Amino acid sequence: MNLDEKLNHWREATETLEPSETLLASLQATIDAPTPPPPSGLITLVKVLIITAIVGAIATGYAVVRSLNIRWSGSSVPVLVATAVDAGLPSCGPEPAPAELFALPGSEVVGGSWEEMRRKQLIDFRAQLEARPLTCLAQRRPLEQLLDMHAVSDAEATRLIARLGWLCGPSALPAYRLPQAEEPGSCDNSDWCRRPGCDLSTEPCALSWADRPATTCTARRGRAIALTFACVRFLRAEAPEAQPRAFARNPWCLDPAAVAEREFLRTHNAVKASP
Amino acid sequence: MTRGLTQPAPASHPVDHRSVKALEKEALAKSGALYRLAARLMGNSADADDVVQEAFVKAITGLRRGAFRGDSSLSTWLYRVLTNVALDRLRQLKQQGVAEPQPGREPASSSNPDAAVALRELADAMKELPEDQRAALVLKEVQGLPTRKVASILERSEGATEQLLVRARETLRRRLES
Repeated sequence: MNLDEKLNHWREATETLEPSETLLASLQATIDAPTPPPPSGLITLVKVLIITAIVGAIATGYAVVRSLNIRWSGSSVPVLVATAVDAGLPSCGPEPAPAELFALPGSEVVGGSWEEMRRKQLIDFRAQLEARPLTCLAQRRPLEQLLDMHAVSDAEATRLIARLGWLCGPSALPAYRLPQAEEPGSCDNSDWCRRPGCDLSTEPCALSWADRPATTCTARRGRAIALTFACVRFLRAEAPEAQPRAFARNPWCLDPAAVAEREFLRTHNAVKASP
Repeated sequence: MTRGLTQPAPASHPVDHRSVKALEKEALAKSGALYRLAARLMGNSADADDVVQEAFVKAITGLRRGAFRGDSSLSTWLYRVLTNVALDRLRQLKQQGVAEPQPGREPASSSNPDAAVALRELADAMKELPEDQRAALVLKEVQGLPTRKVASILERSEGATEQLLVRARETLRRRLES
């Protein structure tokens, strides 16, 4: 059989391929996503400057708090970087105030360790998610806030997101590349390590699906997961089996146990202990 | 990397949202052809899903920003976006040292044993092609597009595209004969 005959066979063998229902649903969801209002140049510039200033202030404050090893006894640090991705997501409308549904317990853990607080919050949060799927913007924020606390291991974040049944592969909204990891030596697996890239202080950065392997390390990956897979539409709880094909191939999902709890704590504690 | 998306239309010519909607609908209608191209480029259905999803997001975003000006047909433009996404992905996989396709339904199979063997040999040989030669060969010989259209999709001259095809066929022939 010569080359042309082989190529012909290949063409015939692949001629009947069709996209799956899951993929088609995802493509339809992309079209159905609302178009964000086109910003004027000046408004865009002002927004970028404001967001940059806020992110810078939060990052500085957070770094100071971490260096002082302050224990959290209240609500988590708001993820203001997520505000810019809010455009296009539906508001929560007449639904009950999310704070009532997703209040992150913290006051009763005063005096406990980061680990204890994380576990309790994660258990509580998961219980609430089991009962109610994320369907709108404000409900997504608690997840991001939880992940942003570096209180969720990669395995937990992966299972949490898988449970939500997010349909997305690449996001229809701009996601954010996270600042360079501040945890030197925390990237034992080069596939997970942050590669040099965007400077968040100068521009909002895109974390596309193609950049997935280059996301940051350890706990920040939880936030990266949440932002990367931010969907305009979320799957309802009644169709949890419709996992995103692309997401199912995410190496963190295929083997969530690959990121051992111990490994996370080891690097987390190393960062806390460092000056 | 967002090659294939031309500069947005100037503000003095705002996008006609009705036509954008129509274009989006047309893009969705071409999802089957896009998926087949992705599967042929990537060699497996799982990667094809990823590529189609990402390309579609880029395409819809581009349509809404007026990146599609009608210089080519919509299908050529969509093929271009998808091919660029696929090429980026192939290069990334190569950088990561991922040589084998991810587990999943292989897109090309045959009940004829001889054909099945031939397909397997061809798939192995295709993996050794540089990404741009692979793309050119798939678009021309498998997708069945004319050279002019392949050149437009790859954003090369027809001469350069012919060169890619010649080199791709030579490499494949040598590999299959060895």
